[in-house]
Amino acid sequence: MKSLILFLIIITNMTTFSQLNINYEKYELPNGLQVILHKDNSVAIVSVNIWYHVASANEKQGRTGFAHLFEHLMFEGSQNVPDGMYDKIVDGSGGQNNGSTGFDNTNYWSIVPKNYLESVLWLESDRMGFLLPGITQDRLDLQRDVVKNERRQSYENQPYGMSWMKIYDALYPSGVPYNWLPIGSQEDLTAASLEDVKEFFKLYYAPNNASIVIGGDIDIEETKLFVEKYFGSIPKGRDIIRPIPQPISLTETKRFVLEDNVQLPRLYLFWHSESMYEENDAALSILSDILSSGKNSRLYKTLVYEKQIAQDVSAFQDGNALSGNFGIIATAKQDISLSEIEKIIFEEIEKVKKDGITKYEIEKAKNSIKASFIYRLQSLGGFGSRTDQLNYYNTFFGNPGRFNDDLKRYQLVTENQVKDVTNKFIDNNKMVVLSIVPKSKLDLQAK
Amino acid sequence: MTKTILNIFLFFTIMNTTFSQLDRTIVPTPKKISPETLLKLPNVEEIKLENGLRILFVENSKLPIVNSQLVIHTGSSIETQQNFGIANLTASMLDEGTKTKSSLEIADEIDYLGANFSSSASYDGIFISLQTLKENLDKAFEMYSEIIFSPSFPENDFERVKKEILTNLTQQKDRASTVASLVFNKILYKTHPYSSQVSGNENTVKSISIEDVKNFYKNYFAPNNATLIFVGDINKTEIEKLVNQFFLNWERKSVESDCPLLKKEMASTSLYIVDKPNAPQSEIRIGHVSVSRMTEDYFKLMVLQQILGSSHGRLFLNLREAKGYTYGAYANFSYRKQEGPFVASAGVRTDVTDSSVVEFLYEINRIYTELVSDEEFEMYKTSVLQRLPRQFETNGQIADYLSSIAVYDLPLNYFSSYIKNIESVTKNDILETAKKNLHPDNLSIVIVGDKSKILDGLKKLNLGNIRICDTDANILEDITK
Repeated sequence: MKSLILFLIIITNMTTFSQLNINYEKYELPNGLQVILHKDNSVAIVSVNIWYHVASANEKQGRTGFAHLFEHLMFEGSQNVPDGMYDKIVDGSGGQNNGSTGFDNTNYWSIVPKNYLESVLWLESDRMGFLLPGITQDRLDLQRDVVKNERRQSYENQPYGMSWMKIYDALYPSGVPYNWLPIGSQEDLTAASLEDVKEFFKLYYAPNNASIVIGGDIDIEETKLFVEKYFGSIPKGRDIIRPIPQPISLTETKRFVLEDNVQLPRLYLFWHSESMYEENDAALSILSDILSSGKNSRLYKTLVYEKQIAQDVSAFQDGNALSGNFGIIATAKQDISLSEIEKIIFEEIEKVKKDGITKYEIEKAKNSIKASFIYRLQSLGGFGSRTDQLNYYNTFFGNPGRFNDDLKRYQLVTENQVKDVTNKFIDNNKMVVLSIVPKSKLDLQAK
Repeated sequence: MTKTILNIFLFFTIMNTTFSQLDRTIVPTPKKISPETLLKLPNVEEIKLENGLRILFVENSKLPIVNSQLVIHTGSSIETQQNFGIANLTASMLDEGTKTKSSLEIADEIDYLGANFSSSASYDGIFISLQTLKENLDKAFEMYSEIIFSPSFPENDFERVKKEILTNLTQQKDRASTVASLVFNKILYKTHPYSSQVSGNENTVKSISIEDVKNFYKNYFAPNNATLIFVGDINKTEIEKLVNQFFLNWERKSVESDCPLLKKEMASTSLYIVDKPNAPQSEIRIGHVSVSRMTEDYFKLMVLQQILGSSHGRLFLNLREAKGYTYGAYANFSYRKQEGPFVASAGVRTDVTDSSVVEFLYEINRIYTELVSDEEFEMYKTSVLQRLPRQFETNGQIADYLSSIAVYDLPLNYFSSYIKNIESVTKNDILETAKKNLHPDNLSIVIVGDKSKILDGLKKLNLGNIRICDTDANILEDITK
């Protein structure tokens, strides 16, 4: 690239650690809005990425799915932005936009040609400050229908689609965050009222509960003036009480079975583990790679490659803000019993518990993790992009540039730690086991 | 003293008040920037080897990453009723063993380098891709070349891979959206290779032998039937060094790879239902055989597709935003060497299946009979014009563009003429190209849903013959209107 590169990445192999330095500048407006600017003029686009620190973990039983329904309403117009105008400006510019709602945060992003930066800040600030006049009962009803369709499409009419609801319901007691999924229940969606919309907006969609990352081909000084102009006068909201982690553990193994319109049985094994960045989060992640990442990983090799009794297997550590869980999911080949799959999974787990893992295995995992950190720096905007990662680190740790630190904690994990976390967390007497089997093949469930 | 401070305070207060009285009703107007300035096009360079291998590359040293892709210009469209799926099987077998390494050793070596390898087939080619950190390029590329030039096609691994593909084919039947697309393609393309998905069907995959795969490899893997692509932190000298080391001795041979010509027949509109009892949604596919990638109307159709079928197009705005029938409704043209399908699609709530079909037909007819408004036209056209910059961001995206240049034999300066080509499209062109390329009276409508709840409503629409099919598009029952 011949143009001036302000987007900097340095990678050194002098030590065991790689250095990733992403340029950014962070400041806060008096109303509490956190602003992060990231300049990269190699492509003539701008990414505007806003995270609100609210999601399904803030919901109450009886109003599940609300944070996500609200996310839909954010695209339906605000006081000065008529319905449809958001898409008209962003999509009409050749740009792209989307939003998503998780357990802990809701994010919105758009990518536009650089000359549309001011337009997007106008749109984003209007819905942050003045959403309610745009929301009518009709709009709420319509988006409720759209969300219900999303639930049908992504869960109800999907093979194995109801598995996640069952698992989270089994892992977390009723009323505790993460007990329900962000999509919520059809009943609760029906119950959501205009009054709920107003309350939710006033409390959570305030500048002091948001952070905005603006990245790409920007002029830093001009961008600061735009931010002040559009966001500076939005009043600060009330202080927000964040959900706190609850001491949750399983005292015994719980087994469930669901019949579904599927051809192949699938086994889900879940444990409580640790939240994002907690002491053992990185070691658990490496364990998951050693179990299922690549053809020569332990579970893949045994179940899929050698015995050929499974079609696929994946293990993962899922650390959320309040707590985390570790999961293993395996799809059996036709008519293979899930008890057999479970037995072999535990034979492999026992080997790790007893004999640990090899130096080669942990190096392989670390090399892949390091490479993936670099690969995912390629996109400026969108889910998982650079601006999205800056916002992730900022929202949860108050430090947008935590790339290096994040990578380093994986590089520091030792073989012994991986063995230890397996012994500590992967307990077959305290887990959630879900079997999804083809209709009328209950005998294939894991017993 | 105190007074001065107060005055200063007062001054700032006034400033602030003025500031907070920002008139938010004023929509900011973007500064005009020419599309050419917005689009920093990658500089595509070419090297041609004596043995016929074409090399296309783009240097992009922003990150220490190198992507490479070998395109074999023969894909599943040369297959027959007897061997659907062989191109895909061949692609899947490449990294299952080489002269010196086993399947697991290959996987380990690539994973240890933190590299990503993949190999897949489409109708028009086989695509063998590598992504690696620059620091591991030499080692990764050596492994990559070994996979390409010395696959050993072990029998045991072949049986395993076949079983995996067969299981996948079985699994697909669980997914209503996949069933809808497969049935739709079968109805449109009957016996032509486009009637089959790239991974073939249960009968053909079962019958393919390892010898067939070896022959496919022998017949079509040739430098004069391939393009090698590099994108990323690599310059011409480095590319030449790698190519000289690994690709120079690849021997030219004569290759015949012709896809049987498609006979385009236009049947009158008919409806096909695949029953999925208790389905909460109906998956709808509506369309017909359309145009090839080589069509002269390509740029006009790009704007038309944006108006009708994009994520804020007419179908989306109507079926999702106005009616709330669906989570999303879209339409697109699939471009291939021969005539690919035009298809409009959505998953809709079961009780509005018939109403949704009505809206689909309304929108297809509307763009076919009426000029689009100036406002709509300008918006959608600008959108097509200005979306290019964000499509040239990652190495993978650029590599995909280079491979489309290679597969469809487009000029190297294709993207610099893109802007001119889009700019010249007029409102009238949209209507003309709709008249020429859309066929509202010759639609195949496929619906996967709960027959007992949707059939009566669909009958009342009087759209033509209604047939009930199984998941393989075999007709089970013919219902006359």
